[in-house]
Amino acid sequence: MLLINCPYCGEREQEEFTCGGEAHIERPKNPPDLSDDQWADYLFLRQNTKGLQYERWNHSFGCRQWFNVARNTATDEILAIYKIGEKPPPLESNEPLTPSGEPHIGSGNFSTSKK
Amino acid sequence: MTLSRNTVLENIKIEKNGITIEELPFVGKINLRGNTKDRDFLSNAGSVLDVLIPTEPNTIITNTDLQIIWLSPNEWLLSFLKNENFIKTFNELNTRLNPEKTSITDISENKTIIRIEGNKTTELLRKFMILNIDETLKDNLKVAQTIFVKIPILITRNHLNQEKQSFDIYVNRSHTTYLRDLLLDGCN
Repeated sequence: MLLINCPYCGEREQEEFTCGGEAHIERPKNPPDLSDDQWADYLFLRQNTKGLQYERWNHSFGCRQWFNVARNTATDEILAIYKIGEKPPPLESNEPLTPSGEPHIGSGNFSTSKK
Repeated sequence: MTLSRNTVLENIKIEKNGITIEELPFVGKINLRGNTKDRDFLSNAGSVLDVLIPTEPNTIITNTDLQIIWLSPNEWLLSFLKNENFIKTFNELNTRLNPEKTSITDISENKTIIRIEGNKTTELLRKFMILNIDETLKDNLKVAQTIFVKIPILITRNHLNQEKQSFDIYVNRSHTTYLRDLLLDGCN
């Protein structure tokens, strides 16, 4: 269970929130000019990062406001929380360490060379 | 626009092991939405309600017959403790506020209020809620929107000291009997 610090209501349990997926995905400016593959990339493809990921969250059982969260998907550590429309804060490392030192790409596949 | 003439619970006041559970029926409620950066909205709403709407999260401002409850940065719940002025205020808000920039909705029928009183009320609520009651509702006239088991609720603290604890729970009418049954079970 995560404790998430809603920018409006303060610290609440994760059960009150809904994750809205990856943040800062810009809608293409000219959708008619895109190929089907490019449009599908925009709609469906996400980074699925192991490590630092910027996400949108909604306080669905509270103030119902959207906000952004910078979270390490491997450790569930929340590194920063900021409001919608604000730029991501500068974080010390773009790739926080995973708990067991797994590679950042793949599902714990140690045969992949470590950085 | 009329207020409901039916209570949700058959016995609107029940007492068990020192805890009183009571439904407060026929309370007029208005959902008000507007932009706090709009000075016309703030001043006109303030003059109709005779008090400035709260901009600080999770707070309540009370007037003689009205509670204004913060719901989100652009949304408030007006709860009329005395219903005489409910229809008058509703009509006045519709007249004075710009309909293109605000929303005024009568939600009296949507929710009912369950008042819980007694010395061990906080202890009872802790059995069902994940909310840190001591921290979030540490002062009088504080409010929190949260979940009670799986039910979305809005809870306000009424008491000034711990000796006479009192909370109001705003709950959907369809969830009221479920909430009452759980509370009664928790009193054992």
